[in-house]
Amino acid sequence: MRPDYLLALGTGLLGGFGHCVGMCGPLVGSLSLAAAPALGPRRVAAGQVLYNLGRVTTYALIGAVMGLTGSFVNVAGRLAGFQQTVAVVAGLLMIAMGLGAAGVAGWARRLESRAAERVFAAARGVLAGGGPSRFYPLGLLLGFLPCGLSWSAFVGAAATGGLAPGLLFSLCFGLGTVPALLLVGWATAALGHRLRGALVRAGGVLVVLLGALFVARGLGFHAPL
Amino acid sequence: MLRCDHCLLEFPEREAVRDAGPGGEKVFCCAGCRGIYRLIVEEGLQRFYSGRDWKEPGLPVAPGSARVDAASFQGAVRDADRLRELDVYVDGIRCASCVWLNERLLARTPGVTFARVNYATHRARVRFDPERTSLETVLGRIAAAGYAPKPYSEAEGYAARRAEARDLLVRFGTAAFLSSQLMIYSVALYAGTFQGIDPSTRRLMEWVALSLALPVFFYSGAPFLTGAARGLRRLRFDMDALIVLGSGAALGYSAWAMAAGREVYFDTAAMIVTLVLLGRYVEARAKGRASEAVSRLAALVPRVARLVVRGADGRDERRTVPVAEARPGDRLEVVPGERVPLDGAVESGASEVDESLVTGESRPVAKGPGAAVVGGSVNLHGSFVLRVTRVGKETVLAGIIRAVEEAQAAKPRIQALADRVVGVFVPAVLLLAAATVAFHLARGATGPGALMIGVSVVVIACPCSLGLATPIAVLLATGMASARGILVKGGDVLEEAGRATDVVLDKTGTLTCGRPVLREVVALDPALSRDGALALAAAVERRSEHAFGKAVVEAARSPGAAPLPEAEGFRAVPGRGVLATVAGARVAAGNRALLAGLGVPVPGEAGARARRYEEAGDTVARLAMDGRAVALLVVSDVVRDEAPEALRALRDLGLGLAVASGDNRATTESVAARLGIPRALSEAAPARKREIVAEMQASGRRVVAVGDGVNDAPLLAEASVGVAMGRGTDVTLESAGAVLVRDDLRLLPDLLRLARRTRSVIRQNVFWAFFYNAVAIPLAMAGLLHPIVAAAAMAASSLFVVGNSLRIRRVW
Repeated sequence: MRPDYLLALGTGLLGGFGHCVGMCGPLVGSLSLAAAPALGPRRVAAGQVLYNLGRVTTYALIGAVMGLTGSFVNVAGRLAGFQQTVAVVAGLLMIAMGLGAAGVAGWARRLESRAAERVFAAARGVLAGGGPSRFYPLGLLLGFLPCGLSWSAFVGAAATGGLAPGLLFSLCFGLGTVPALLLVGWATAALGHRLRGALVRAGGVLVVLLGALFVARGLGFHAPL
Repeated sequence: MLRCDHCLLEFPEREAVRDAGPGGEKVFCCAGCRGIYRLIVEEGLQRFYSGRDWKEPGLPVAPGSARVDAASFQGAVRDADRLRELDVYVDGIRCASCVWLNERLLARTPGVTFARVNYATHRARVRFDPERTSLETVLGRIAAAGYAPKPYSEAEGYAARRAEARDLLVRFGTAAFLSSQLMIYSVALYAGTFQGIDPSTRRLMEWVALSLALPVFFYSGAPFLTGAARGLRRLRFDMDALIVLGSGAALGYSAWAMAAGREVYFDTAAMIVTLVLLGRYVEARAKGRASEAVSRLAALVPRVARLVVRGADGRDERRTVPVAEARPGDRLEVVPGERVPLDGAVESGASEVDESLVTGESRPVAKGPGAAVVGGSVNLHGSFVLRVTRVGKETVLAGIIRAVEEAQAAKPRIQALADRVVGVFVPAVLLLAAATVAFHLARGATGPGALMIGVSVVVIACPCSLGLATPIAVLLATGMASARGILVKGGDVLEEAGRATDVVLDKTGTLTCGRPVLREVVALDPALSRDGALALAAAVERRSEHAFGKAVVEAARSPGAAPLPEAEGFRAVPGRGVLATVAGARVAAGNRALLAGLGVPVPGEAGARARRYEEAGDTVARLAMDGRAVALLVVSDVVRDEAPEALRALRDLGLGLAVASGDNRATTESVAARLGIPRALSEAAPARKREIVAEMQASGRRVVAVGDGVNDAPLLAEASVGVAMGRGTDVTLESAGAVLVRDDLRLLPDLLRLARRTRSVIRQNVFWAFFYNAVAIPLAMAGLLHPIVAAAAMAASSLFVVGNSLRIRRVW
């Protein structure tokens, strides 16, 4: 597997256990709690799986679109000679987001939570009055949650410069986040505050590394990875 | 760990929020709980905490986080005199203390006049003065206490229908979202077919297309899957089966094609599901509101009654009891202005009652000792004591409710024309596909190859535009209708109205204006002018509750008229008329019996004239002054101005006409004769009217019934189509399939013309929806079908259906 796909998967895994659990954990947890009394544990689990399927689908879609956009930019950039610059800019953006996740830059996080409120309100509407199968469209919707971690992954997808690579990149990222969210039901209770914080920071560091990789490529260094 | 004094949640001490007030030092888990505590203390409602019994800690709803959206409650607010009233579902109630708290908080809000919370249903009924407070304030009070107000819809059917539409919307939204993505990859694959595409890219695209098509088929298409399964269990092929077959065949074939290296049809599979879902959603939204007829009817009966019991000392005492507890033989007192609580017989006292509930006529009926009264009728201006004869399910009102319910349940759901065709079509297609496979096998094609040609026959035979054929036409037609002032509640209403053969009309309020109007004043005494007689009569009738009296007073109150003279000593004689003293003269206005009782002779010629008016269906009152008959007042229920024109239009449409009324024979027949209606049925009670319609329909005629009163509700529910006049009562509006909101009878022929045109357009749509696919089937059978052709055929038929539906606009 190509190195950036692996990195994307890793980002998703580690970032997922920290960032995603903290941010979306309460939401997913409350959804399963609210549904639990009415349905059996198996149906709740099915709902969780559907939710993650929907989420990953949206990520893949966004990644594909971003990749397509990236390819336009690439083409435009190639025409104007800016292709390398694009990679550098994308990488820098990712570093900034990663630093935010790592707890170094606060403004990134604040922006994130305000936009998220609106998506949550829409999510409540979708969920109202439906059964466990509603978790699939819910996942589709929540995949659009403006989340620093996933958006930096999408920027990375754009930098791959093509529809297919972009799709694969964000697909790997999404798949990486699935284990964390599947476990979130008891992970939220099990993980103490401190451990969660450490994981978020670790995820942020990974994003910084990824961004650095892009910057390096753009600047013409072909790192051994 | 500390425990929050408000919500009982346990939390670490470092997060404590404290409050030092008159109640001592309190500790809370968050500022929200402290805010609620302060609110409770300010309002002096600390009793909440002593009586509270919460099984689990934590707030039901985080304060302030649930932004109360007042807009979603707007539809539920009713007018009650000058106040507004609404029902609210209070989410988060856990114990009786919560009920108490909400009631108190609401009641103490300035401007709120009434607040009651039901513990069992969590429903709060609030009445408030819109000038002193607002809906937002009321809802905000509930939210501020930590509960979430939600709109409460009474009728379960309404909630169920809303949930169904919401479900379809979510499924359609998902399908549309995924399908649009799928289109991108499909276009890329099509382009690749012509321009050449890298095999690994192609493989990736196909996999993506598959993983997008699967949720569309299984999640969004779930209603079709369950519907088809249900139909097949009864060995019936319906629309759902057709969709599942077509879409499923496309999906299955495409999955095989991926492995075999051929072209894929994923977009076709997804498009079928998406388009038909759109049609279903449009249909579900257009369906009318659930019938609240029953709950409105039930609301007509008062909840409490005045029971008269003979005390130990032999004197009568009155006690207020719930109506549900009254038994046959009980004596109930009814005072002026009240509704009669139950069916009974008058024991003592006398009055006049408004029995429009049963007869549709608001002309008061005199009730004396021995007379039967109906529960739900309005007592006008006398008091009486009745002995209860029937309670509960046996009362007349309960019978009307049952009649409405039966008629509504008995009416079968109108199956769309398409469903019937589909029942025949699907087996035919399967046969054709089998024949195709056999044919190609005989011609030497390989097994899988022949099978796949057969599959493509099935796919192309699925007319996805069929799902749009009816809903689009219905949507357009109902939109046009409502722009004109006709409210149509559903496509089935239009379809049935398009097939109508007869129209049965109620008389009062439908053919007539429904309000008695003074037509003529005949002065018998040369000394008294017409205006003078009118003024005299109006002076006496001013205090009368009678519709007749109101008509007289209204006529006398025309602009520019002199003020009415004062009347003293007003006395109403039930069933006869009114008496008063005006400017020293004893004046009486009433019927023949009144004057006879007073010993006032009526000259022969005047009497004959009065009788002629009465035979024509009008009501005549005789005015007497100081013992002499001085004038005749003629009041009639005027036929609507537009009625002749409307009925002529109906006749031109070839419909048979009839009028059914609870009024007496003379009046009904004279109205029918005047308007040229061949069939007149008079003195018909609601059940009898319904029977008449049922008889007509049993003989194969399709009846459109038009009415406005409560007594017309069973009639409207029984007919193929019930049409309610806009000024009708709530119950009738609910029982009707269409409402003439603009109170104009000419809208009726308009509606029927629209219905006929819509019906023919729907049939054309369905025909053409099949036609395009019928052209493509032979192509498929010959093995010549290209995916492009399939896609183009589907798109073309959908476009045609929409375009054809636009032709409905030219009906008026």
